[in-house]
Amino acid sequence: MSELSIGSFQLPLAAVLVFGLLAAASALAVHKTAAVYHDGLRTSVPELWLNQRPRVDLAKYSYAIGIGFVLAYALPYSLATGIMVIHIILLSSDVLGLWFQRTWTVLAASFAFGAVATVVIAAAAFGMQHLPDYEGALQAMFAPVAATFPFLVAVAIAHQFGVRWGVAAAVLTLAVWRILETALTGSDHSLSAKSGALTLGLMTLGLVASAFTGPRTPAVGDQLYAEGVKRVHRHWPYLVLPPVLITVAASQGWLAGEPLQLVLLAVGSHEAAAAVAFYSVVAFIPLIAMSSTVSGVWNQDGYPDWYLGAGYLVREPVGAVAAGLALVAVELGSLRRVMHLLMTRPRLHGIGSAARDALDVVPGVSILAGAVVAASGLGGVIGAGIVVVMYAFNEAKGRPIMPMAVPVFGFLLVALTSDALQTLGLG
Amino acid sequence: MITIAVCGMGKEQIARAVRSAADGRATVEVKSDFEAASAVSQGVADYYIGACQSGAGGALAIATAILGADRVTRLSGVGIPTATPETIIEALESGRVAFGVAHSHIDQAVPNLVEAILKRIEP
Repeated sequence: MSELSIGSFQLPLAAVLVFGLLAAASALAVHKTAAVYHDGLRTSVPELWLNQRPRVDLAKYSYAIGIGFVLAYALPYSLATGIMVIHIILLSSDVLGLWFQRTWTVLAASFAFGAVATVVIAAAAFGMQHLPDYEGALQAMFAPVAATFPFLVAVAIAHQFGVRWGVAAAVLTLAVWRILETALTGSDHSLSAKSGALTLGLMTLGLVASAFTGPRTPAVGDQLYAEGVKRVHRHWPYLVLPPVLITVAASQGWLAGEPLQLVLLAVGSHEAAAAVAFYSVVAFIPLIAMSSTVSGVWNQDGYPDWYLGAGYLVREPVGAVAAGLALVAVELGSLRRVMHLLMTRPRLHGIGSAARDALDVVPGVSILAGAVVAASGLGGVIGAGIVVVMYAFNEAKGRPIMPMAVPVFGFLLVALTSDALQTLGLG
Repeated sequence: MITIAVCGMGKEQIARAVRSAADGRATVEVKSDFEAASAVSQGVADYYIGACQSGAGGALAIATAILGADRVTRLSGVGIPTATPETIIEALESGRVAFGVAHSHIDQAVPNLVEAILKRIEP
């Protein structure tokens, strides 16, 4: 495979091409108002064809609600590992697809953005990875996240059904985890078992949802979403390429759905990352399906993050293309049924919301713990102190940076400072 | 007494913030986003407060779908300052009934919003 090579820095040209194409295909879908990635933008897009809002105004809004996710959420994780977080590409595509009036300008600008972002992130991560003791420290930072993700379901259950049920689910998670670890002798114990535990946990969550323990709302017809579903279906030509490219990029380990999946990829557990990706589907289906079908504007990433999850599991490009195409067909073909289910089973919304809460809580606490330990390894008590103080200052200032990103920024600062001090003979 | 339906990321935290600010002058109902928006739409609740990472996505997507874009507004988000009491009053005056806040700004944004709502109905 051809590579972009400067000294010892090497980057597959295929990665540059895939991310350029993903950004371009995604921005094209946005430009044609077929899809947008940000959930908060989606329901505002119809204002364009209703002539209630100019395109540039919506582009500015898209930038305002998306930039925080790019700079203060996804970027530090990508800089630390070289793995692209999907928000960087798709949220930027939202802005570029809305900003430019001409289709060719959209395609050129977004392709250039995707390609340049890939090179910049890979180069920055390459630089970080050559700092002394960096790789070991990075693994130390990620270790608590990799050890706690199976409890996502238990935390979600606690949010939705109360602490008592959450504790019961946590005990069940531990029990299943232990059983799987015992059963999987001779292989990579912990990660396989964790993946199995989460998979089983997902099944538990699915059972809770599908067991329909909550009240059932009578079907009221499909007036709310029928037109939206038709509009999504009419725009299918714009909705095929982005998911396929997402699946391919994930199959090569280049792309992650959010920081938790990225961490699991970075520690080498593709199965665990896939389990989290499929958990995310439970979390986001109500939000994506509802906002998309009432607006008629789909999401380039479909039901987040099942294309990524499929890619993590397939791990080769031809199979990834086939998997991506199959999932697109299932996704678009089942829209009406999914909406009917969501309209008649309101508890699915609550479960989705609780699952999203858990996606914030579990990795957030774990990455802080990991960053303190890792920074301590690099910079002693001062290193640990820098991470803690940065986190505390961010809290005191009303959290201008998302709490999950602060420990990673702190860790990167400690790594760079520690290297600079050693170079100057002061470390 | 007014009813405020709360939902989204950290909904219990929003409920606590509303109860604390309202001091018995408002009823709080913790719901899913779909149920909360439907409650406002059906007149069962008077206001909607939702939260998510950005204050615009999960917080407001369903509310926008059910209530319409002209009845919702975002009060805070990552990297932008929380809405001032004056901005909140303007939003209420213009008929907004559903409000999105960033999860990380709940404790700053919700008390201001509740005070503005109560001031408006209890001059």
